[in-house]
Amino acid sequence: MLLGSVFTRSLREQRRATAWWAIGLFGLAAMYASFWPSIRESADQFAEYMENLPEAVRALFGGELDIGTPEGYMNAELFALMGPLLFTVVAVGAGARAIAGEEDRGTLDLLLSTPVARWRLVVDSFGAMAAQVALLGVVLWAGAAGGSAVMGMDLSPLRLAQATLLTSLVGLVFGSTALLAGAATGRRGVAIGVAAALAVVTYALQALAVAVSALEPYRVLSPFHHSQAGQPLVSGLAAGHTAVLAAVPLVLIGVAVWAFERRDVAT
Amino acid sequence: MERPVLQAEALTKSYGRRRGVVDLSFEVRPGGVFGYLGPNGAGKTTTIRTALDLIRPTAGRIRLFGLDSRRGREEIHKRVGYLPGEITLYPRMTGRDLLVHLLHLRREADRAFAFELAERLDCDLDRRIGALSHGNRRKLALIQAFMHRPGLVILDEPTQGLDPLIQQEFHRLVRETREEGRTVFLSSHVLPEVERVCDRVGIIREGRLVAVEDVGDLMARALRSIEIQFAGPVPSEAFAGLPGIKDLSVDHHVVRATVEGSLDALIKASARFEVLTVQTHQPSLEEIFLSFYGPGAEEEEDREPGAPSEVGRAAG
Repeated sequence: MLLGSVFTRSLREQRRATAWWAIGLFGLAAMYASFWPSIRESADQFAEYMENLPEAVRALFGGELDIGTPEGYMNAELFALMGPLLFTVVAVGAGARAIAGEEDRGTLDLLLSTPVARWRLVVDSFGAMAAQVALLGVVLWAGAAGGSAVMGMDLSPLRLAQATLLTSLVGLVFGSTALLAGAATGRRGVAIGVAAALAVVTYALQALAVAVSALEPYRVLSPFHHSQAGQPLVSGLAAGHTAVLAAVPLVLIGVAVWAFERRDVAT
Repeated sequence: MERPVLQAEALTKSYGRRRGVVDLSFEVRPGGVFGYLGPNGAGKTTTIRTALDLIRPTAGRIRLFGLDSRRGREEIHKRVGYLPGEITLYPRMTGRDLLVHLLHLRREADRAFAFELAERLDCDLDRRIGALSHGNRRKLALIQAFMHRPGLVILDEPTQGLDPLIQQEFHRLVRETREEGRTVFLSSHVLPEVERVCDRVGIIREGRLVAVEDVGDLMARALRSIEIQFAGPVPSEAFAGLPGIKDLSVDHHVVRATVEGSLDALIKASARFEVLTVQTHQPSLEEIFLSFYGPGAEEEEDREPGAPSEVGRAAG
């Protein structure tokens, strides 16, 4: 039943927003695919142009792959920045809304007066966030795979799915950060701020580490590094990187449960 | 004696250096209506939120149904209904959805009573909560506190925002709850209502319990003012030294006094003379309550914390 738990109720509350996001993401993927023919025509020019860019700037555009190939192009447009960014926005919104949003609004008291355990609230909220991100991931994949087929890009649907998975996991990492910050402080603004700051810093870290050798060892701290380093559109899922991206949200949720359990709830 | 439904044991909560409640000990017996009185900031909401494990005690503990508020939380919350003082509901949900959702969370299968209550309180369940008036939202909040027939209903300022007709219905609901052997714990400022509805009252002031008594006893012990007019002048000696008399004034043919407890001695003393009229002023619970905060009570400010107060320790 759609009102049977905090998990289902959260999903239900977000159904309209999720629908709009789905339309947007599908459209975005399809749109990029539709540009492919003109990109391909100018492939050589693009390659030359990219080569002349400073390394650092090229890195910011996910320039490890040749943008003239379907894989390189799709990766640069969807999976290097835009995809992770959009999933992050969705997930952080959900994460901040969960505990902190309820507390800020004043609805948490009533919720916590029911037999529902505090840990259950955290887990249900995470579940709703993950379900929303997963659904949008499927939609993005559908747009990309469909677009690829229609425009003759010949991208493997499996590889697209794998790239989408990693991209959505990046969003989940920051969403879980927001959930943790919100569960610990009870303030939605703080939750969003912390997650957003982390996203910006780790993105810059990953992008600049290409050009700045001193940052090289710290790349592992960036979720964007883990989603890109294995070149999923070409080589599929690399075990190590995937494991990190999957494990981090779970660890963050564990800490969130602990943090929420021990504190007083504000009126 | 039956186990108390709610029991505070030296409950203390401080917010950093701000005091919340200090060394509260009292119990609420099953099957009655217990009123919890005190001005804003006295510690009523702190007590209630600690009981519901929303905040944790600094020292001491509070038990419901014999279980510790934190360790027994899940079991307790199955048997408790709660109306928060400041309540926000989900604006985009309808009342019906909210009640169904909460019934699920409370593991309550029976929905009929919830909808029956909505009918009795004339509450529209099919509009979005955001579109409801403040009064209607309060009604919804009231329904969700009672709808699963909990053993203990905790109400923080229940009738604020309710019109008098609905207040009547609310009182009926409280009476029915009591008749079913269940317990109501309500905190309120509306003292005439507490007087009408409660069996027992706990008065809290600046984080400390000042009195816990049956409403009847409290009223009986209260200071009553009396004015007796006689046919002719009466000697003041006739009234001097009578038990329970305070503030006696004998002015020609009028005797005025404030009496604590029984009027018997004064009446018998007056009966020797020709009495014209007798006027007594029955203090309301409000006046009794204010007497705990009146000028006489100010002396307590200088006393050390923990010293016995004149009014008497919380008589359990």
